[in-house]
Amino acid sequence: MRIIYTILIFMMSLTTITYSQISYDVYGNFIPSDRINFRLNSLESNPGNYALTKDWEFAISFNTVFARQYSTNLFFVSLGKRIKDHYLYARYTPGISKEFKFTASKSNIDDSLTVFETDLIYKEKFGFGYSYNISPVLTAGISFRFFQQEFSEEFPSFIAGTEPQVLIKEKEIVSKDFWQADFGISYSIMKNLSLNLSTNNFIIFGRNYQNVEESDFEIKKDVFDLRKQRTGVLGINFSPFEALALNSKIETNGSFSADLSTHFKFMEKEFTVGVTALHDRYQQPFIAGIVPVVNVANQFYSVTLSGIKYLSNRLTPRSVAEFKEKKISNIVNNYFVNDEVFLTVNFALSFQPEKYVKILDVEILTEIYPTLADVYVTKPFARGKIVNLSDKKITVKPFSFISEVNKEEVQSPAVELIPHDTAEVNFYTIVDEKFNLKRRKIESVDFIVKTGNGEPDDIIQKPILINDKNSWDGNVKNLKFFVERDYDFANQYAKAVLKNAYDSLVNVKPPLKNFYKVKILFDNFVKNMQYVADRRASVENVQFPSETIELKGGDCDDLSVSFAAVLESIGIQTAFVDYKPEGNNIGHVNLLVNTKLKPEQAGLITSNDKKIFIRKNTDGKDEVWIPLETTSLTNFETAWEIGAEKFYKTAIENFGLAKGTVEIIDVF
Amino acid sequence: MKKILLILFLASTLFAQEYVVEKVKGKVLVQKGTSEKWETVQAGDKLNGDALIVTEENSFVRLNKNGTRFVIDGNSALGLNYIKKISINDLLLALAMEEIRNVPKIKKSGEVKSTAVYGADVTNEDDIAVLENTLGEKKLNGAKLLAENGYKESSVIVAKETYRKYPATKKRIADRIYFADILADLGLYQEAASEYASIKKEPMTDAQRKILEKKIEQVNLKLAK
Repeated sequence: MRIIYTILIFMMSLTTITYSQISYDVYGNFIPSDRINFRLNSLESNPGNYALTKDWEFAISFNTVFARQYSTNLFFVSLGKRIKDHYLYARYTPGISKEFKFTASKSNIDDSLTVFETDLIYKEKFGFGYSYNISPVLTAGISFRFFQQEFSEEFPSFIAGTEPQVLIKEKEIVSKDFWQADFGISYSIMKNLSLNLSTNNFIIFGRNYQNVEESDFEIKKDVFDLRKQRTGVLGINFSPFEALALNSKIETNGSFSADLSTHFKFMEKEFTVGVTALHDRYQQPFIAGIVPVVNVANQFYSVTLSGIKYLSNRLTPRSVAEFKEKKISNIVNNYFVNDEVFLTVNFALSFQPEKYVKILDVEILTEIYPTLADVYVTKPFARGKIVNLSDKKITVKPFSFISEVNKEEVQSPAVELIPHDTAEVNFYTIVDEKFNLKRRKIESVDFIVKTGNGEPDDIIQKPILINDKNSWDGNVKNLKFFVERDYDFANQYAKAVLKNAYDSLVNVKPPLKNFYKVKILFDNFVKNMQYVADRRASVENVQFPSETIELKGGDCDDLSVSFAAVLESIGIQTAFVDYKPEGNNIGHVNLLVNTKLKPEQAGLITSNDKKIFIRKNTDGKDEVWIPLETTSLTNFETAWEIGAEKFYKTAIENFGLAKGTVEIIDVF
Repeated sequence: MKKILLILFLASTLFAQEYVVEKVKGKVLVQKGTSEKWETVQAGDKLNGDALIVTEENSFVRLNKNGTRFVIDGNSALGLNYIKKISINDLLLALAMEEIRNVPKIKKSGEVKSTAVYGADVTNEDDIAVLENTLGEKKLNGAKLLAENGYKESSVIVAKETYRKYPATKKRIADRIYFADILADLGLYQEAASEYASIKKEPMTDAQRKILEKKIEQVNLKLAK
């Protein structure tokens, strides 16, 4: 507070010429907080057109003037509309109109008096505002206001040729109008502190009058015109506690206003009570007036009772000389007006439901690989940051919809958010098994958040790369999805081969059956098979088992996937051995196959214990696994020897398994 | 001794792992790489690190590698690649690897196992007699030779691998205590304690149990410090 006070005093000390306070609002400094969604100030103190209005808003205000007699009028009607980050505002202001009448009398020959009247009418007829949310914390805008001044002056005239001369009244009428344009920006430094900078009378344009200097009539000169000095305004809004707000505005001309308001909730409605003190260097006393405000609001409407109470006597008649000397800068607030009360009702004419949650950003974590569909059910493909805009605890349901991939929105797990809190949400998706793209393609994905069952609260759209069905993300763990896709084919293939080998298998003792099945299947699998490297491409490709067997060729991942599918389809357990790339060595993948033999039985298949690897099964019992180099397209014995040599050297002797440079990944 | 070990270590890293067979007594066989073949070792043969030497009772073989000699006594089996000094860190890595493979795969619900519940082959799996295999015992003897020649870390690795591949050797309590003691000697008290605890689960004589209890007590005291 001391800093604000120091700034205020400093700015006041810079001002040598003082004018009456130009920007005055019927609500004082009352600025809508995050808790109130209505616009509760106008273009006078908010030329930047800052508003929290979500969609359409209609407002109507009535004022009662406490002069010698009460009069109640329509003060303004306004309509606002938000379109994404743009906010448009228009208002008709019949109530911003003041008439000042001054009289002078002249004696006639018969000693009677003729009264001559000078009538000054000031009107602000309508205004427009436009603002743009540059970012969630920065808004900039512009306002246009149309003013009209109608002045009339009665003057004496004598009828020519009459004796004695007859005095009559004649009247000179002048109408002047002009536009005023101002700019403003609002910046939220933090959640409870924001700054506003705006102009007053920045641009004035309108009709010019000719020969006004030569005129006999003062109304044609600018002596009664609204003062249009160009000034700047700095506004500070600070909320030290949730229920307390301190707002102040300092003008470069030295005038300032300061506001204290508190809000509380009662019967599901938000109540705000505040008071603004106005200091106007032209008006007396030091605090020229106070503006009390009471507001009650819910999400559909807002009712505001506000007023201005001047702390000096406003009922004393003023002379035209005094008016000429002091002039006026503000139609509503000036030295010559009286206390007023305003009743304003705002209605949310929203055709969209109230938004409780907003998506701040979404990060795409991975491209979509259709064959890895199951990955996206358990692992998010995108992560978003959301904020609870409301003052209540909400449950947010995130959805995603990827064009061409999804037939309907896919719901991800809901998250709970406390008022005004931010959180991360994960987006998962389901890719249909039959989904197939011939070429990689960029599609759009809609990220949607809902708090109810109906309309979304917010939607963000982002591009995402969808790969074809053979694309692979290079993660060996995900090769299993290629294995399971062709299970039926692999099973038919395995059964057909084993059927032909019935004679050689029938006498094999059960513990060795798995081993011999693997041998027979491998020897058949590699018949006429060729090693064919992947095509040069920016993404890894893996063939489905049926493709590899039918094409009779593939690289290490194609062959490992294909033979794993053949074995798994008949219940023989397999694991990928992922030799990770190291230095100049490129990565490699081959297989470990479970013979189901006990370590004591290993001697039945080999006399060389380097060719086996002991692993515990799910029951904690040791089983003999054998490494198979699937790219060794000769025969089973050679593939086993080559596989074992590589595995023993890299995974065991060089501690690859412990160092993590070699990983065993069970297919299932 | 330390000087000799240092020379041995340097020799093992600076030169190719090629051994020359200087002398052979009795029956000595070699298995090279992943081959299934057993060949008779003769003086003058040159052997690579991937060779596994097996000696019968009352046999021995003397090897020379860049001037350093190593004798493999009778009834032993030793992979020549293990005749090397390895660091404590590498030993710890090897023990960690052991842990990795000892953790059984987590049972997943809905796991695909076509013969897991229905359709299992009901033929008695054990109708094949397990072949008598003395290689495990010979390998433990080879591991002891390593320890005696200063390759304590390598000896523990060989012993561990032997227990896994030849489960019957796990029941050789004295040998197991011998290699667990090496872990304690190397200052790996946690690992030694874990090995003693594992040995305790095996059947043993009262005298062995008494020795084991004392070892456990000693290593626990070290751990408490």
